Amino acid sequence: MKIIMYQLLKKGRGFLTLALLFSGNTLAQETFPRNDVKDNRAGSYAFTNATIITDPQTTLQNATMLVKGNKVEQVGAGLAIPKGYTVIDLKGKFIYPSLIDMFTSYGLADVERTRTGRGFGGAEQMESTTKGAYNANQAIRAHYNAADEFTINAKVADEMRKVGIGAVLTSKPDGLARGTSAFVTLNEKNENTALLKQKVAANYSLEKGSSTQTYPSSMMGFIALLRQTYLDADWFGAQTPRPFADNSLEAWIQNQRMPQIFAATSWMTVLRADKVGDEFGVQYIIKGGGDEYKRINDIKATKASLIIPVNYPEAYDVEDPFDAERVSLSDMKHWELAPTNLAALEKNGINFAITTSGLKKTADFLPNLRKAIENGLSETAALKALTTTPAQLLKVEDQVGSLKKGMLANFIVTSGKLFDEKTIIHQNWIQGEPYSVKSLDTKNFNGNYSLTVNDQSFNLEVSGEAGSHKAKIKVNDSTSLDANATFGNDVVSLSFKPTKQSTGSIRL
Amino acid sequence: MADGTWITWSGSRTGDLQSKETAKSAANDKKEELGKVTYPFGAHGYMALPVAETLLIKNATVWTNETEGILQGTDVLIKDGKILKIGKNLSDPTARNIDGTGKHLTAGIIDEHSHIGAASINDVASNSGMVRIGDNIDAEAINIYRALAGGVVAVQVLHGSANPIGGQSALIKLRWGESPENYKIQGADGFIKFALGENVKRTSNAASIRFPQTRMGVEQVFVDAFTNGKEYEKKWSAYNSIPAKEKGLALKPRRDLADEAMVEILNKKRFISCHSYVQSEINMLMDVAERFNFRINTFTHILEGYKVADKMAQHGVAASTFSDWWNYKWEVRYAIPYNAAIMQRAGVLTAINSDDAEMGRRLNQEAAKSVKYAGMSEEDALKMVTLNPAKILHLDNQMGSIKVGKSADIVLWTDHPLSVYAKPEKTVIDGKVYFDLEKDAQNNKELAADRARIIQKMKNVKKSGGSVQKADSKMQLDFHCDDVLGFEKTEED
Repeated sequence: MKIIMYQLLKKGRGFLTLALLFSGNTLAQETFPRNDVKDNRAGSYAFTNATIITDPQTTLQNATMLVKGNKVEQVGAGLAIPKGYTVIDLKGKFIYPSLIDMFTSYGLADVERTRTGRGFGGAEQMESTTKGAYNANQAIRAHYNAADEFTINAKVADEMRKVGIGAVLTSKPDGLARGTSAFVTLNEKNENTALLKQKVAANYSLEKGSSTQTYPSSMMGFIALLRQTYLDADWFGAQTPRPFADNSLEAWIQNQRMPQIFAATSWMTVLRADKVGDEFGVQYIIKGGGDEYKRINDIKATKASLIIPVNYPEAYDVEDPFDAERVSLSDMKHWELAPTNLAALEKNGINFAITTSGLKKTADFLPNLRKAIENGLSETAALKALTTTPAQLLKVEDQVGSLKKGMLANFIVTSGKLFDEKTIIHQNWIQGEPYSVKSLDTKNFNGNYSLTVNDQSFNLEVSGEAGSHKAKIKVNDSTSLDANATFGNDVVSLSFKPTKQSTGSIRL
Repeated sequence: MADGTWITWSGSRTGDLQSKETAKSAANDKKEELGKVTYPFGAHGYMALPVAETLLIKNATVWTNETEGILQGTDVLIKDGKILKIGKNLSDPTARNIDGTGKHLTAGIIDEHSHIGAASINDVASNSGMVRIGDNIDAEAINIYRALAGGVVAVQVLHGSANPIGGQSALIKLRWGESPENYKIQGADGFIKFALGENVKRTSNAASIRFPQTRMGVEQVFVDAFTNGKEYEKKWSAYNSIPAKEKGLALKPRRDLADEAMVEILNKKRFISCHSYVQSEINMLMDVAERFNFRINTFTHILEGYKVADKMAQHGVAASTFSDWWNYKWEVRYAIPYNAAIMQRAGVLTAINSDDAEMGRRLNQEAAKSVKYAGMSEEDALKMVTLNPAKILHLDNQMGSIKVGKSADIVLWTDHPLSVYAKPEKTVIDGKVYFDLEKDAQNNKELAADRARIIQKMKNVKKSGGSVQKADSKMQLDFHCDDVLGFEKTEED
């Protein structure tokens, strides 16, 4: 068994499905029917010789981590490996707690948004069209629970796992009061195990979402409605029996016990949101716009913990002076300074988590984080903002965010320090099950080679990243021919045209 | 091979790649130059916020707006944000002296009716008394700076005219670069927008189903709102009079923010500025107010005010009107450029307002039109954009004239302030120079250089193959009374 597992692991991609067969039942539920006689015992792994970052402050060298089932059993140096454990030698590799994104809508259907503010054209919709005993205003959706709708989305899960994320808070971005969010892992097995906690936080925003009701139609109207809803809930909740049924107000009242997360979009809306909270004794955790550096003192004064995106704007195409004229100075300056935002927050002692929210491609996440680090964000603060901080803010720090006995086995295996440019994420383990990102045996073959084919020799140059190499045949200093090359663990395949004029290729 | 034959081959490693990394990291070591955060962030932003200075303006023509009238060759000393001394041959060793020779010093312009500096200005409920402009001050609105450059020191940011009862105003000083909350004038009275006529009955939208649809209905909205307000107050005073011991058993009434605004109006703690054009409706609203035992504070626009000026004077309502802006819709056909002067002569406290960001930066010229059209005195004309709006907004104890003890909210003009050639050389608020003609030119130069530097950087990104987006302008739009399209224009999605 031990040997089989290891070989499977080496094969990378194919490993995933097979591994699930072997360790299949670690995530099973006792109440579910069976249709086989397979081994039900939890998978047990020993990861040895690794550099283990158990939490942002603690790094263990040459350490071992034991994982049993979906939990971490033990982490430390010089641990004895009990019998029956699959040993995975991670010499030279690093283990980190997998990352947490606390501002996603993973696994929830998209929201149809209405255009707000069309009040002067067409007939107004004076009343809510939501069917059932819900709030008088359609934008008050406190009754919504993400846990009820959540289903696994394998494609999105894969994208997020590839950048090291293992668990997310998912919230439906619909309404001024958005109801509750759920905390889920990125396993692809089933919702019963992926859904770690229902009703983790109550979410709010200054966007109407799908509501077609005319009021409110302005920023100040959104704030006015939230304010009035706090007051209505107070009045409603003080009465038994209730004066009428309102599932939304009922839920609003219940939701107050949870962490309160407010989605803002810029430093100014962060301040607006915080001010609403201040009026009702609520300290929101606020999702910012990534431009907090513009008013760092005001942001600090809110005392809010923040969730910060790293969706920096792209440079503008200002080749043509007329085009350049169209870009405002503030947009230009923001392009330049956006990567300094996280460092400014750290420097000012502001508590923050980091989110992939707003990125065009999730794959930009780590490169953008690296830009923040180049601009002064410490690696410790970055890791904290992606592990322990979100875990604490969501009150799930007993399950995720660090690696110690009893925590969920949510971790990533990397080739080096997580935020280094060259580092590869090999595997992302979710609840004790591995998801391969890039084979553990991915080697870097960069270098110059001399190639002898029959009697001809060629100079071959291999460059690029491990796992995605580029190859060139160098004819002389200024001329080279592109070659197609793949480097497997034991197999190299290479094809190129021997000269520019050749119509056929040499395939090796 | 290409000809289909199989061959043997071999390859051996001859060495590492020539490192491009070294060159790259060396470039990285040379710390990249970054721009500075300015306040506000963008055009006309300051590196540091202005501070209160001790300023001695020497030998200026001072328009006091007080019984002293216009004083020639006079010095004004300002210190700690206040006007400290007015006189001849003043000196203060700690002061920065400013030569006022040939220049005119006036109180700063106050715009009674403005929609600058807010993220949205209209909501849609017929009674929108619960919405507050102050909740969405836009501290980075470029129109604030433009108004400063036109000598404006304070404005009432009014809710729009989409509803009979609009939202609550924000009274702000144009403290360019400050945080949203710091724009607000502390301790100022609360105001609220009301509106009459075509906008509120949705004349321009045939599909509208919102009540009211007629001018008669508009009256009923007011009567209903104030009646509700009175009931609401009664309910709460009944609850508040329950002895503390028994209070636990009683149900606390529901707080309703729109009703609370109505109660404030009834109790003369919040004051109405009502968008108005047609005389019949002007009479109607005064009548409604009298029935509920309070007074309307201001009729704004009030283009037919000249027809009912005597009644307005009797009611005690002020007027805030346009100089000669008219005929932009049916109900404003009867406007005349003598309106302001006629109302003023009838004893109505009269101001000239803008309702428009562009007009708002040349209100001195708008005031001057009453001199041209109606022979108003120059002093009275200037008062229509300074002292009178200060009185209308209940700010005249601290603003609106050059008087010892008042806030140093003043403008030094390059020329006669009613002249089209006059430019504000300095606009001062709370003793801080927020606009300075000379510094503006300097600042623009520096920001242009910063811009050029960033443009070069962006070009380099494109050159080195980085991805770029199409240049696009996110224009800030100017709002008017009837703009419902609100927040989404200035808030990025």
